[in-house]
Amino acid sequence: MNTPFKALDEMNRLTSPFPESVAVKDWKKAGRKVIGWYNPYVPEEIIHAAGMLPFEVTGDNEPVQMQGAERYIFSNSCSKIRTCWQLQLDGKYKFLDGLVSSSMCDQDKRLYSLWEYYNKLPYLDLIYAPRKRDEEAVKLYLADLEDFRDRLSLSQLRRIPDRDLADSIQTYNRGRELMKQLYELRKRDHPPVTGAEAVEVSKAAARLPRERFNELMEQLLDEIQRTGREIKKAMRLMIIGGDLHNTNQIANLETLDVVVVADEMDIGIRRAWGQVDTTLPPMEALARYYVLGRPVDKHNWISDGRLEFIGEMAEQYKVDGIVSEDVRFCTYNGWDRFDLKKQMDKRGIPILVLDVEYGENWSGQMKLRVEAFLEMLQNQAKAPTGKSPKK
Amino acid sequence: MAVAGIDIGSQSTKVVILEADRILAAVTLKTGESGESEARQAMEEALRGARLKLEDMKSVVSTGIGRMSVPFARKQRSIVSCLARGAYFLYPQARTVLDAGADSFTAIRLSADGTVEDSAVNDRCAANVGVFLDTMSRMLRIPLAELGAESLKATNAETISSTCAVFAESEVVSLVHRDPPVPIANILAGIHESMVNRLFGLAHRVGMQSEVVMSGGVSKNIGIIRAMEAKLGKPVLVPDDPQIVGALGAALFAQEGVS
Amino acid sequence: MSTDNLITAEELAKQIKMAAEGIKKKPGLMKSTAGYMELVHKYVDRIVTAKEKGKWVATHGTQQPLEIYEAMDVVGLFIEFWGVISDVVKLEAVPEALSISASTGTPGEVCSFFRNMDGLMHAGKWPHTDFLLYATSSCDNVKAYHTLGRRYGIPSFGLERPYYPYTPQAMEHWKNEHKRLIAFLEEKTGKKLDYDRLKETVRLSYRLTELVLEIDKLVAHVPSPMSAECFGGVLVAMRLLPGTQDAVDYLTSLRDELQERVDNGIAAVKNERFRVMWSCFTPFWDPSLLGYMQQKYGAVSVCEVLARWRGEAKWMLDPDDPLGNLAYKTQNSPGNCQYSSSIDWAGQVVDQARQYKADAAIFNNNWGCKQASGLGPLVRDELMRQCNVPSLNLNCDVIDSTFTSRAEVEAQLDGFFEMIEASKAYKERRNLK
Repeated sequence: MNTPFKALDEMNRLTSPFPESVAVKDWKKAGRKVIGWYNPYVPEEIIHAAGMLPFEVTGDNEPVQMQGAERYIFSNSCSKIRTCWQLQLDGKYKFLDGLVSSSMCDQDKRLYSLWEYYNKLPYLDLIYAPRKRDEEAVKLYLADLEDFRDRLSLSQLRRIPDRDLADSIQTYNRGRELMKQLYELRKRDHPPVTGAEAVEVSKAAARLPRERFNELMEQLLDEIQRTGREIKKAMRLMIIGGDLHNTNQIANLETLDVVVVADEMDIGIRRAWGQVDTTLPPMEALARYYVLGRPVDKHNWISDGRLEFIGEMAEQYKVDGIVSEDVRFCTYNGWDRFDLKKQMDKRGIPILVLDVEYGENWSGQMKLRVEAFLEMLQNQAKAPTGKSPKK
Repeated sequence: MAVAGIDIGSQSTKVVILEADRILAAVTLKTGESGESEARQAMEEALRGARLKLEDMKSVVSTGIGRMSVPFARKQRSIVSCLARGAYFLYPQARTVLDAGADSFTAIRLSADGTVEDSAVNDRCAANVGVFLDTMSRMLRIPLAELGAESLKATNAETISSTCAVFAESEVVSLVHRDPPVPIANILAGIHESMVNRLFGLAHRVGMQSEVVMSGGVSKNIGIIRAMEAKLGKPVLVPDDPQIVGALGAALFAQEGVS
Repeated sequence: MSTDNLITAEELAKQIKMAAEGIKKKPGLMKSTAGYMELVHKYVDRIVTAKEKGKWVATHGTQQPLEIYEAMDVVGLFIEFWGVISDVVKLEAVPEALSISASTGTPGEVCSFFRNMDGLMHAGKWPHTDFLLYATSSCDNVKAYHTLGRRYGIPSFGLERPYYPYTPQAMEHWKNEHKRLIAFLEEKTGKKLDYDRLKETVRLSYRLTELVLEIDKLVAHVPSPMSAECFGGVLVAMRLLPGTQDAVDYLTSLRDELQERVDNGIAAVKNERFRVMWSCFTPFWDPSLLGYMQQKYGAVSVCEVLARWRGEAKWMLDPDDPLGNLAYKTQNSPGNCQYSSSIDWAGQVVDQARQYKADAAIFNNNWGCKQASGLGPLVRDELMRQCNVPSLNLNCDVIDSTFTSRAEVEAQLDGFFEMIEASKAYKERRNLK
């Protein structure tokens, strides 16, 4: 039994109950606003600089039963998007004062339109998420960001000054730096945190005021160092694919002799990688970071970089295998499958691809297939010849 | 002046013989196929029950997937119109009709005078409600007719997270074999709840206005009905014989055609 | 894995030519039907004979500046159309290609237009292609272009479209993307773009737009003169062959025939009972459905959201700035709504419902389309709210006929038209008691 970390417990306390948590209630009690967002091309720093709490709209640790969402969006759609909409219908997101999305994918766009048409919030905004990663894309995105900043400023009747943007960037950079440190620690043979705990940290980053999150991250890293906690498991896994907010699922997976040490998900690494360049004017710095500063994303057309990053990450973290949890109907993950498998085969890294519903629990098909995969990994590890990914 | 309505579905054929506002005979035959011989077979049985001959029928209207296979039918009407008509005849206060058959689900909204205002049918993912219950019946070794009653003994409905009927099967297997095993009643209650949730979404597309009538073979499952009532927060009207509603509507159209 | 049913470009061209000849002998069809099939044949033939004529072939997606291709001797092969025309010639071809695609691991929940290409490429049966060209429009599936290009060694280029294209900086960016496309093509072909030639192809394309607007007015006539067999003609001419004289000639003759029919009181059907709009796309997977609906229900298709311009479509701002014109054209062009907000799509559909006096809308929910699945209900609601036009949702696969049961579709159409006929709104619209 792993000794719980006080800092992580506090993160969980503050971010419970989901989604209108203790932290959200405190924030709103102080008369402050909460702006929802739901994909990684919405710069939280701009919302933060406007004095508002950026809050990621997602599901959580239980699958959400569809009870009417399909009246607004057909069932051949991304279950994450349907989940978010169902939660809205259930009144769970009534604390939002606004919503910002980017058109990172078709369904993101459509979810935004649902809000616009059926539940117009006081502030609604949509920016573009470039598919290319080049200077032209940075320019295009920057133009959109400037317009976003203007509109957000107007809604608050207060121009968001560059100075505040610079401060927000520092604050978010600090958070990234701290999360990256945690990732580095997970490279160890016996990482200090489980995959489930790492995802809880990542979730908290997007649900708490960033200053408070940073404090708790510092405490967490300190606790890790002081306790010297080690997770001793036989196998190491990497999870990639769609967003995964159901940490119960990972926690259940990790009751087996396996620990999740790495990921390539928007909820994971994309929160922790890189730093916004503080030597540049803040808006340009943000545009540059969000377009070029993080690992290649699944929506980027030229996916070569993504496949390469996954392979390198898997090797650096010495994983025994990769599980790709592809949320059904995801076009982006769908088109990467063939080449992903080929590339991982070349590197000798076994990969299991699952078609899942967002928020799926650890049961049924998922359990069956992952258990079989882990058995295969164990057998491979024992085999004297052949490709044997080892530490 | 007797008329007949015949509803040929994928699993069963239903016939209603009507005179004025009296149902002289109502028959449901599990036929499987949906062709002419099945139509004749069901018709003959209904006629026997009403002690009439085919020539006594002033008009016959057919509906359902096999509606074109009835050579003795004067007219064909859509199943949506017939379900609406039949439900409205039985319950003039009906404003929403939810028909849950073997492999399809239809939601219909009616106006105050019984005309269809909107309808929706299941997409692929919400289909197979009846077929899925058949599978559960075999897997759990509980007769289909008893699934509903058994589910009412549940202490707690077990959550079935798979929205796909195929994957839900393996989820049920893992629940049965869990240590300690989940009580069958709880699993059944969870299955019913999960089915109703999926159907609910579809029903919402047409708007759920009171009163709600449920028809179709799956409506004979009291567990599904209770789950739907819990979801709606109000009672659901279910005819004594929910499977004949479409055939009844067809018979009413037949009557209208001769009057 | 069977590839017996897959069809090559040469076989496709042959079959279409035969169909075009056959159509001429079929009585009771609009005169332009033969021209329509001939245009389709020309399109496929261009692809088949491109290499021998010293041209290049670009497999491409939606919202492409085909006028540039035309001016640079690049022949376009629109992947969506390839699936559609395969269905016209051999219904078994597409399911087989999809099956091959599935064998590579591509999930069945992505768009079958792209899976069809995936399967055919994997089997080596996709027509010879020199480049893959695409833009952000219309959807996430365009990622497949680079992916497949990398896999099969075909150079590709994508144009990044801003989501909100109306700002000056967005238009500047979009125009620059056109320049980058030209630079890509110049590099690959070794030929420089002749801007005078581009001005000409743009002029021809604009002429097409003018013709389409005239045709729209005629089709909107009650009763509509446009019969099912010619309904797809505008789409083919306008979206596959802009910048060509062939397309202008075809639409000119189509317009003339429609005018003649209006003048002589000749309608698509003797008794036009229902005017149907396609609020997503027409039933490509079942080429006979439009004709069936027309015959059985007197249900005439009057418009579809992918083939109609918005407003006056005056996109020729400056004859001497062809790139500026093309960049601007995209903003209003048919099918552009796929790339804009759901509310915009709904607005366009409502405009069309009014313009064409629609009684009914049919929304084909393509199983692999995340655009459509996310906005079908909203479009339905807005249509009801604004003009009391009900919608039928058909769950389908855009080109795989095996996905849907025709019997099921017919049953749904039965119920739908019965409902409309009994409705107050319909009776009022038709002044019936």
